[in-house]
This record gives sequence, C-alpha cells and structure tokens, in this order.
Amino acid sequence: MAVGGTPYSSAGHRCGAAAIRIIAGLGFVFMLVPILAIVPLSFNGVSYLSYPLRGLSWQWYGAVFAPTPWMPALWNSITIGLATTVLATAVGTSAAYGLAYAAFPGTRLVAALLISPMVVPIVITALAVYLAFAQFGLVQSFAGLVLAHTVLAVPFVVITVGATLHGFDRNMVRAAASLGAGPLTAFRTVTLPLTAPGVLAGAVFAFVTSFDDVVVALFLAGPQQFTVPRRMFNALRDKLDPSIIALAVFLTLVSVLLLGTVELLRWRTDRLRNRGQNGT
Amino acid sequence: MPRRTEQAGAGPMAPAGLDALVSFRRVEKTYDGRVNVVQSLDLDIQRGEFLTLLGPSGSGKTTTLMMLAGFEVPTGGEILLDGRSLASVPAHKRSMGMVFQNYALFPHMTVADNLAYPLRRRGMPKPEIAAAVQRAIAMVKLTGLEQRYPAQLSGGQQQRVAVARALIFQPALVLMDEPLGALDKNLREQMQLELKHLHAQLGATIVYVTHDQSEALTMSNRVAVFHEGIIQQLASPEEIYERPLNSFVANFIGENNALPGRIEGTSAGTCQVRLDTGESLQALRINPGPDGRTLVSIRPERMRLASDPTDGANQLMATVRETIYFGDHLRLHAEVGRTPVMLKLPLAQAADLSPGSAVILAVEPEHCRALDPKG
Amino acid sequence: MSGAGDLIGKLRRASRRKQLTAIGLLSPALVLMLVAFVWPIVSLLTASVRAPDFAVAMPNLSAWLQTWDGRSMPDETAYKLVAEEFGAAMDAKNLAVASTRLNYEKGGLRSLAMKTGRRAKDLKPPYAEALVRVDAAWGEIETWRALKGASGVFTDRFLLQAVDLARQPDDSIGMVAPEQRVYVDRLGVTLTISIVVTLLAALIGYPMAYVMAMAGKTVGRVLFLLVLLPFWVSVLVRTAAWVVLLQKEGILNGAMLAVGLISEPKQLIFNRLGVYIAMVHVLLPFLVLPLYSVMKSIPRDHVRAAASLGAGPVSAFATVYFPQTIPGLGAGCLLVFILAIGFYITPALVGGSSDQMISGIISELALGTANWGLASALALLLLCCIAIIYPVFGRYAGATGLKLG
Repeated sequence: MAVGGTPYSSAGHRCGAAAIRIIAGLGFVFMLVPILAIVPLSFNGVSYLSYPLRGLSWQWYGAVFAPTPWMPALWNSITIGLATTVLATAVGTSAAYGLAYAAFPGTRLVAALLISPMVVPIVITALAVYLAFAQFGLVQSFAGLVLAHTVLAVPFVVITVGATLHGFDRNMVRAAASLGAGPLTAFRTVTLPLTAPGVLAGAVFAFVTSFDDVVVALFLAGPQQFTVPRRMFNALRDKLDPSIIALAVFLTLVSVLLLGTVELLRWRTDRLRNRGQNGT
Repeated sequence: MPRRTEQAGAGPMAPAGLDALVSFRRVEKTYDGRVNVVQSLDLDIQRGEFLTLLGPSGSGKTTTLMMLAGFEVPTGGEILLDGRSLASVPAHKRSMGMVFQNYALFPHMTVADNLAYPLRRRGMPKPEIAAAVQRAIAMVKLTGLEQRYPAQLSGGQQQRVAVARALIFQPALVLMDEPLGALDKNLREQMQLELKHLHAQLGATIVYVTHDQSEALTMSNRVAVFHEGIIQQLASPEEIYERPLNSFVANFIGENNALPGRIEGTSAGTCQVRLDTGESLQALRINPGPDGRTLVSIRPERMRLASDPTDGANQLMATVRETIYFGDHLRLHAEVGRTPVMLKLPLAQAADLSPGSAVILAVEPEHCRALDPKG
Repeated sequence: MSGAGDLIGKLRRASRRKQLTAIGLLSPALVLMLVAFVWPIVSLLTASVRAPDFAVAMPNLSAWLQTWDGRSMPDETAYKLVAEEFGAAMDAKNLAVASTRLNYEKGGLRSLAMKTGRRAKDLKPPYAEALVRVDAAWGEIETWRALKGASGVFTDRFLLQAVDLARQPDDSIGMVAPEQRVYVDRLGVTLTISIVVTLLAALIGYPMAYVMAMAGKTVGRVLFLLVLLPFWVSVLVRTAAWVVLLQKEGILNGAMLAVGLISEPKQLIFNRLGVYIAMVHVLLPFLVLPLYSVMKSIPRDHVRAAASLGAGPVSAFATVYFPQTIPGLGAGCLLVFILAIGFYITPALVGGSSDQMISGIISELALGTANWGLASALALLLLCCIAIIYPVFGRYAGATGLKLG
C-alpha cells in the first residue's frame, strides 16, 4: 500500500494504491447510490418500483401531500419535533454550560449520565419509558412523546454545545470583565454571540432526533400522535408503493437542507474562532 | 519575610509607600492548599512606573498579575489600590486595562466595536465614543481599519488593537500578560519600542509580565525577578544586570560565569575566595552563603585576556576549548580547572587561541560578586 | 483590614458560588434524565426479577402458599382462601394481571383463574369439593405448585428464560425443552450480525477514510459531505431505498439480469444478506468519521520520515501509519458494534424471520404479548453485552473525541 504518494513507488505498490482507491470509490458509491436511485422512481408514471420508467408524473407526490394520511402525520412530526427541539436545546445547552464551568469532582460521571441515552439501545429506552409513563397516563399523549424524544435529543445538544464551549477562549470573558462588563453583560455581549452557532447546531440535531424516531413512537404514540416515520414503518411492513418513495425523497430533501444548515453553522463557528487567533 | 521589603526599597525609585498606586501586603496564593504559588508577597507599584514581573514559567508572576486584575482570589494577605483594599471589588469594577497573551479581541466585533466596548459599558454618549475611538485608532496608527474584523488584521495590528482597547478608557493601571509572545522577533522589538513610547506619552502605570529578559531590560523602569513564588530582586534593569543580589538572578538575567569556591577572608565589603580549582581571587562580598561556600559571578564581557602578568586584577589560568566567531565579537570557551567559562572578546586578538593552548584571564575585583550558591 | 481567615472564607465562598451556578445549570438536565430515563430503566430492569401481580392480588393466599411445602395436597384453608381472594380480585379488577402472571408458570392457568374468579361468589363450603367441581385442575398438585411459583414478589424465571433455562419440578435449574430454546439462538444471531457488520464496515470504511484524509482540501470536503449526507437521511428512508433496490423485481436484480450475470432473479432481501447490506450502509459513517478525524491529524512527515529511514511503502504503512490510526479504528468499530447490537428497525424491515435480533424480540414481547418480565430480562441481557464493551469504547472515544457529523 503506497502511502502519501511516494513518487518512486514500484508497479506492485501502485496496484495496491489503486486497490485502495477502488474499494474506497465503491464505498462512496455504496453510500450514495441507494439514495439517488430511488429519486427517479418517485416520478414513475405507473405504480411499479422498477426501471425503466413508464412515463413521468407527479401523482405520487400528490398522494404524499393529500389531506390524508401523510399530512396529519407530517404535522405531528413537526409539532413534536419543534417542542422537543425547544425543550432539549434549553435543557441541554444549560447542562453544557454547567459542565464547562463545573469544577467539582464527579463532572465526568454527570457527563456520562447525560450521554447515556445514546448508548442504551433505543428499544430498551422506549420500553422503559413506556412502562414508567404508563403510571402517569403519559402513554399515547403528546407530552409523553415529547418528553421521551427530549431524553433522546439532550445528549446530542450537550455534545454539540459542549464542543463549541470547549474551543471557547476563556480569556474572552476575562477581557470583557477587565473592560468593565459584569458577568451577565459579558455573557450577553461575548459568550452568547460566540457560542450561538453551536447552540443552533445542537437544536438542529435535537429536531432530527425527534423527526427520525420510529421506535419510541411505536411504543408511545397513540393514533392521534402518529408521526411520519411511525406511519411509514407500518406502510413498509405492509406494501411498498411509490407514494412512500416520493415521501422518502421529500424527507431526504429535508435532511439535505438540515445538513446544509449545520455545515453552515459549523463554518460560521470556525470563522468566528479563527478571528480570535492570529489573522496572518 | 520583611527582608524582601527592604530589597524593594533598595531600588532607585522613591521609598516604598510614598506614592504607591498598588500595594501587595503579604499576599499568598495556593491552588491546592499545600504549595504556595505566591509566597507572602510584599510589593509596591509606584504611580506612573513601568514595572515588569520577570521569571520562568511557574514562578508566580502571572498569578500575581491575575490577582491584581481580579481573576484570581488571594488565599492570604491583601492588595490595596490607592490605599483601599481590593478584596471585595470584582474584576469588572477595578478599571484596570488589560492586554492578554493572545489579545482576546472579540472576534464577532469590528475593530471600532472592540474599542468602543469599554466606553459603552461606562455609558458614554455615542458621539463621544466615536471621537474617542478615532483618537485611539490614530494613536496606534490603525486609521482606515476601523471596520475590519480582528481576523482580517495581521498579528501586529491585532496587538495594537488590544493595547488601544486596554488604554481607551484611560485606566490608571494597565496590565499586560506576555502581550508580545505571539509576535515574531522583528515585530516584537518594534512593539517594545512603541509600548515604551506610549508609556512615556500617556503616563499610565504599566505592570508587564514576561519571561523574556531582554523585553524586561529594554522597557521597564523597574524589574521584579520572580522565582518559586518569591521576588528575588526588585530594581532597575541596570542594577539587576550589573549587580544581581543572588545566584538565581545572576544566572537568569544575561550570561554568567559562576565559579564555585570558599570564602577565606573578608574585609570591608570584599572577600578573598579560594576557588575549587585552587586559584584565589578577590570579589565583592554580596550575599555570602552561611557555611562559607560561594559562587563567584562574573559577566562574560568583564573578563579579558591578561596582556601583562603584573596586571592589578584577579588572574586565572585557563585552557582554551573553542572560539566562535560572532561577527561583532569573538566568544572564547575555556576551562578554569574543570569549570567552564565564557568570554566575549574584541575581534582582533594577538594571543594563540587554538584549542588546548593556555591563557591567563583577568577580571577586576569589582566585577566579581560572591553569591550564596543556594539562591 | 480583613484577616487572612476572612479572605480564605471569601475564596471558598467564591468557588462555592461558582459550583452552585454549575449545579443550577446542570439540574434541569439531571432531573429530566433521572425522572424520564434513569428511573424508567432501573424499574424496567427490576421488572425482570419482580413479578408481584399475583402476590398483590391474592395477599393471604400468597402468604399461605409461601409456607406450603409443595408436596402434600393443600387443605381446606387453602381452598377457602382461593374462593375468597379470587372473588375479591375479580371485584378489584386485578384478576386479569394476576392470571397473566399465573399463565407464565403454567399454560392454561389464565382461563382457570378467570373461570374461578367469575364463579367464586357462588361457591359454598366445603370449598375443596366446590372448586374441583368448577375445574378438575384444582384437584391436581401441579396447579398448586404453579400457584406457589407465582406467589412470590421476586422470581428468577424471566432471567432464566432469557437464556433458555428454567426451574425443573425439583427446583433445580436446567435447559428448557429443545423446541423452546429460542433466546440464546437470538443472542447468537444478534452477536453474529453485529460482528459481521462491524468487520464489513471496517474493511470498506478504512480505505474510504484514508482516501478522504489524503485527498486535497476541496475533494476531501466533498467526500466528507458524501459520507455525512446518508448519516443525516433517516434510517427508515434508507431502509426503504434498499427494499426498492434489492427486491426480486428491483434495480439490482434487473441490472444483473440485463448483463447476464444471473439467469433468474436472486433473493437479495428478507434474508441475512439484505440485513448486512442495509446495516453496513446505515452504520458506515459511524466508522468512517472518527477514523477520518484521526487520520487527518497524522502528519504526512511521519511516513516521509519512515521512507527516509529506509522503510518501503508497505512497511512504512504497517509500522508508522497504521499504528497511529488504531485509536480511530477502535473507536469506530466499537461505536458500530454498540449501535448494531441494538438494531431493530432495519432487521425488522429487510430481514427474514430468522434474522430478527434481540431488540426485535423485546419489542415483540412487549407490544405483542405484553410479557414485560421476559422483555425486561432480555433488555438486561442486551445491556450486559453493552456494559462489557462500553468501558473499552469510552477509553478510545475519550482519546479521539466523539464528533457528531
């Protein structure tokens, strides 16, 4: 295997390097192709999910955006997702600041506790929450689903905001104090503007966590709270029809937009960070 | 340790307490409850002076500055500003300008906004802020760059903004924490001069922390040499260089030849030292060790090759090891017995300096200082 | 002038204030996690050893059964308690859960219990004969042994059942009947799938991360986004795409038929192959991203230095480059393995019935048959598997830093 492109590699090494490139190339194709391959099928004129396409039509998108069944589910997904985002971002951001400023022993334990929902298999969390919430009548309720999604989303917010705070220069706050800013003013004028992109990125993660969840919804959602993934899971177990593919393409588009948002925020953070360093 | 207060008073400035802006009174700081990073510090900072806290890392100089700024709380003693204790004054109410090591310019604000920041916090009316910002920008020669962000400036320009920001609200006291550390050598020397001129021009009191001795010597009115949480010597740069009070200061500042020996006889301020190599020489009796052991400290430029054996100076037999050409002078590395010594010599030398040849070194007794080897 | 003691007090107060602020900031998240995560998980795990439904519904009968030796037939006292408490449980509406609990001990006891409960009020002494008239099973000692089994608050039956063991009539622990041995097999399938998926991901992901790390700035960025995009697309959407691609009349079969690679459509999905393909696709980014961040931080000079010291490309790779990527590879592999072991959605949608993993079984037991005890025991089993691996993962992740996207 040739490393670093040494110019005087032998033929054998060049073959090795080519093999690496080929495997990697196939890997990238493997990552992307299934997502791209379904896009044309969502425009198929007939209800087959195979090539060649027989005519083009928007009918399957029409089915997705028809009054039932997907629109109520989409509305549920969005409202539950937004409620989760607000709750998880508030709680998680506060915790990330707390962890950054905490100086007591056991900080690592607290951090591990806050991250643990990422490690526990989702089915176990869903089952546990289902049994616990049943005692308070929170099963099949909007509040119960939002609460459970918040538990799943908080780790992502803590990690994202924590990473932003980790790179935050503590001297910024000291500088603000030396220039006459009290703690609250320093937070408002310096800490908050500099860490806001990280908080926003955390919020996007929280929304996606809720928006993509199937398993918790499977346990906790009543028919009134059926989200898009919950309905889609049923539909996939039942029979695959092109309107589901149209929905999948639509959801992919949403994902691309969210990814773009997070990348933009990351770029902004980097830019703000680099401004603090030597500009040369 | 009252002895150190006396040392502080031995400096060329006015006696302690006469016009002190800041007074440290037996200030201590420990982070872990066992080791004191700063030990019973007594220090008076005179109004209008440029005082440098100089020392290796971990010597307590930065902690001292941070306690003065209000970012660290002393675990003992107190700090007085204009005679009033700072114990209950938070950092943002101390009105001390501060320049940080990496400048800590706010990256999300333009140069003008960075400069206006302290004035806004003080509720100054907008037109006055704008005028003050313009004046400050002119002062540090950055006119035209008001609307740039810090990332769009060079390192030197950022440094000037940081200095201007610390001065713009006319604080009586300006603190600088290794502000030139991130600059390259040429820029650093240029900024040293500019800071010195700004100090002369504004008359503010500056407390400057650095580990770079040349920076300390070129800029300061007084230098406090820190080591292990204690001020080893507090005096003018010339005094510190020419008349170090102990072997730490002698070794830390500039280049130094240290010859170990034993004091054999003393008389009015001088003493006779028998070196471990057998030679005897006369030296100033500065800070002799308790058991008669001593290190004789001699600056390399004070030693010369003895042309005449009957020269009135101390004479030492040495063996040449190596000569190095430095352009404007010649360095001679030699050994007195087993002790290495170094001399700075003018370029034209008649004597044979090939490795292994024997030479006689001469040095006046007033340039030999007998110091306690332990500190 | 304030004394030194006062100042130390001030220092303590200052740092205490700071800590109180930190605790205040942390407390909402801590309360949320304790109430809505830790407590549910702990009570779920205790549910794997607690089965008090019968004991709660029939307190006096349970107390009597606990003292019974289990060999001699019970006397009239016991029959009287049955008549009283089955009737009372019927009224209190907790006979159903109690009979479900009974049914775990012995199949068919649910209907016996419900029948007895319905007719308990009409029974007259002597209760022994009356109950045997209700159902002859009341005259059999096995019925009473099952009742005794259900009478405790704690039980090991679910834990044992989760690893295909059970109490034998003589109270020793032994394997269950061969046709009932399902869960160890499921654990084996779960571990096999997780290991194979991890290895496949490492084999494909290592070259991908390497090419990303070695590419120029722009190309590297594009490839990075290429890996990141699927990471953001919902697992459900990606699984749906694989169903479309891999089904009999799907794109892959069509393409292979067209080029003559196969003569009739192959079964690519609803079997183990489909599970591997879809799971590797979902989990590959979790391997590539940590590995990439480690590889990017390795200075190219290291390999150049090795070359200048006489190492050929292969040995430079093996002795200088690869060892430095081990933390990233380890972190990625463990992350993939931990996530794979809990997979549910993908095997459920693209696997056959023999490819269902433990998570799927847990869900089926809970949502299908409401067998919380066994579901909890299997959850405990799965958590134990993760607990064994997590510390190792923590060590590696600590070194490389878990980055999201």
